[in-house]
Amino acid sequence: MRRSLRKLAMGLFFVGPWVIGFLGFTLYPMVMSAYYSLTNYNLVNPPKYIGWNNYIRLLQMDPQFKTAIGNTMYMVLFGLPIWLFVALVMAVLLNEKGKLTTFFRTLFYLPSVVPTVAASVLWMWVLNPQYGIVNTLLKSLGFSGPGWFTDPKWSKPGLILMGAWATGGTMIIFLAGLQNVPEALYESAELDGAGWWRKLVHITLPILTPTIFFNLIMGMISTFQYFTQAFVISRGAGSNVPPGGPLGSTLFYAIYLYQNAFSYLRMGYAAAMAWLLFIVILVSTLLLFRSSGKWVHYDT
Amino acid sequence: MKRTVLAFLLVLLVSALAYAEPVTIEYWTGWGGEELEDIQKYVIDEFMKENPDIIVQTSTIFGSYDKLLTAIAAGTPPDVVSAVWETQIPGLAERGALMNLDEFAAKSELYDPDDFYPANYRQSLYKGSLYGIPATTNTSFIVYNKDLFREVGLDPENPPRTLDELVHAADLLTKRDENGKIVRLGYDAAGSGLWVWGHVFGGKFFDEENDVFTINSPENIKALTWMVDYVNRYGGMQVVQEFISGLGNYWSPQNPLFAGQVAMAGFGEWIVQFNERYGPIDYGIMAFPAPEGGVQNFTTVGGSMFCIPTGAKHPEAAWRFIEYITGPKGVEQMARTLTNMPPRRSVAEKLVHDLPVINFGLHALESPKAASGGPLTPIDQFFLDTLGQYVDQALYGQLSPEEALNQAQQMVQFEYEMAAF
Repeated sequence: MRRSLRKLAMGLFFVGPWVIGFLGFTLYPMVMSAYYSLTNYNLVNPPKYIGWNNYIRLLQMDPQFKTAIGNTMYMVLFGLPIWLFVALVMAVLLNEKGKLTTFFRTLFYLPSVVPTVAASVLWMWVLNPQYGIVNTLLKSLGFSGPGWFTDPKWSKPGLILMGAWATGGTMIIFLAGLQNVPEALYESAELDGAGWWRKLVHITLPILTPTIFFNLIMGMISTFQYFTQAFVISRGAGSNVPPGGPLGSTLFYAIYLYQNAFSYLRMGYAAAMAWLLFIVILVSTLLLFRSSGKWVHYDT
Repeated sequence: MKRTVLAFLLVLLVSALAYAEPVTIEYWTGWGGEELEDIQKYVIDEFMKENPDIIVQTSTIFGSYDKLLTAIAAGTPPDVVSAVWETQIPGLAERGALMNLDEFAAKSELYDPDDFYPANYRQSLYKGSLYGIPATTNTSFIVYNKDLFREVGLDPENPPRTLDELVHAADLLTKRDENGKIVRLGYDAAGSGLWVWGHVFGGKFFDEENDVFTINSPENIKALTWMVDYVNRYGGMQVVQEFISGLGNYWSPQNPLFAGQVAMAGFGEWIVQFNERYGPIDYGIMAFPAPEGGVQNFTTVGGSMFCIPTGAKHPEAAWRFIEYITGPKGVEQMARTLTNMPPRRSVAEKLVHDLPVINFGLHALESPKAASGGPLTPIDQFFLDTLGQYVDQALYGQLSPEEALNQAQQMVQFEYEMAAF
């Protein structure tokens, strides 16, 4: 009896820091933000309870909110698949064994090491319509390049292009997954006369589905919260320019949330936005999990 | 024996009171870099020399102004803050983040409301009470490059006075390469914003008497229409934005005015410092040209306000610092250090010979039409952002100027009523 008590005490002692951290820095803020979302709260004065008004206003009366959702869905539906595809292709290519494999792996992973803010500033100039390297290349090929971050139609494609450059993290996870494919399967497929493509489609990809699934979920969660790159690029050098331009084309959900919280001091409104986002992410994740039974294979 | 000890302790106590430790006050400033070094040296250190019982600990929050509010909410604000724009006073005061300075001011010998320009004084108040005092202010005008004027055959001593002359000059000064791409823009009128042009056209954005926004007033619609037409002369907003995105950092020798990429640019008194650092160029100053029936010599009036946040630990010492730095001596020193417009008349008149750039402000600031950098309402930031978005929609041709301003009006007025101050 006493021994088990001591064991319990020891256990509590060791998980203690985590439990305290969870209660203080995760659970408490979450509960409070749920409460704030039902209030009018400006950070300084005590919050004032206003019921569901924040949610009603968001869903019924806020054109900016709709813009933000549209932009964010654009990234989730177009940006994320492109990023996953690029990472997957890179991983498959870098899985081939050659003399320079490690060199190229490092090379393609390198952009992920660059801090996001620095990378964003860099890409502002890479995609600069006047002096940028991309438009200069396009010009030498005889095309006139788009205005990228100055053109409401091209700002999101510009961000997607930039994101594709920095998918090294996803690529590494794909690579790890690829290493798990048993050689024996390839060998027997080769005996049956399968070429590179058939091996890829019938062996590699099915075995890789859990990894794809993992990257999809993680990617979706972070894309719903897309913030830094657009925040840096749309404000450019001017600290007085509100983020989200040109013409609201890069006003993503998290950016609008930030604006509400810290520019307009509508903390309650921002908390309501955060909870709506949480619900959307939760539901999307659950839907993906339910669909996973049909396309994710866990048996090797 | 006991008595001696007691007496000794008493002596200790009394001497401790007499030689009280100096009070350390924390001061958060929005200035940074070289400017702050100069302010520290010429103003703050001076204050500490004259007031040995106060130590000012300066830290800059340049670029992260959100910090102030979080610090106030957390109950750990500084004693003095000057990283507050004039337009933020109502919002902060309304939310109870700033201390009411009325009582301090009433007792002060240095604070004199009549010496401040009316526009500056208006900005100090919210609902009739004093919440912040400016130590510097700035006006706005157009700076033009005289060499470029000569190059295209314009008279550099006779800058545009009407809108037609402005457009004419801008056309002459705009240069394109062989592909028709803009390589030099005469003047980026849209960049000065509807807040400026609306006022120049005689419009108002907020009606204080009726406590209602007037964003879609006929004058403002006319101003926005003019801006849209102007931008379209150069191929539309898209083309102009592409040109602007290639311009260098504002705070560098690549500043478009100094790099010769624009010939005229909206500016403030900091042109003097910029010219020392990034120039020199031969420049002139002109007021925003106004249409008939508009406001001649219009200027916006900005300024960093010195405030005491709610919950400051040493309000008395904080006030003495504010009183000094916004007093005649501090204001003069600040104006000299930053080459800024002093918000006090007596100082401006005294300095105009040393700093010719304040000549413009000397007259413009007396005008009752001089306007703050935004509406003096608690939703200034929401207003400015929302207005910017709808003005953009008009400039990009997605909405007519009238439609854009109608929608902006509806959004802002709604927020104003919802926030219910």
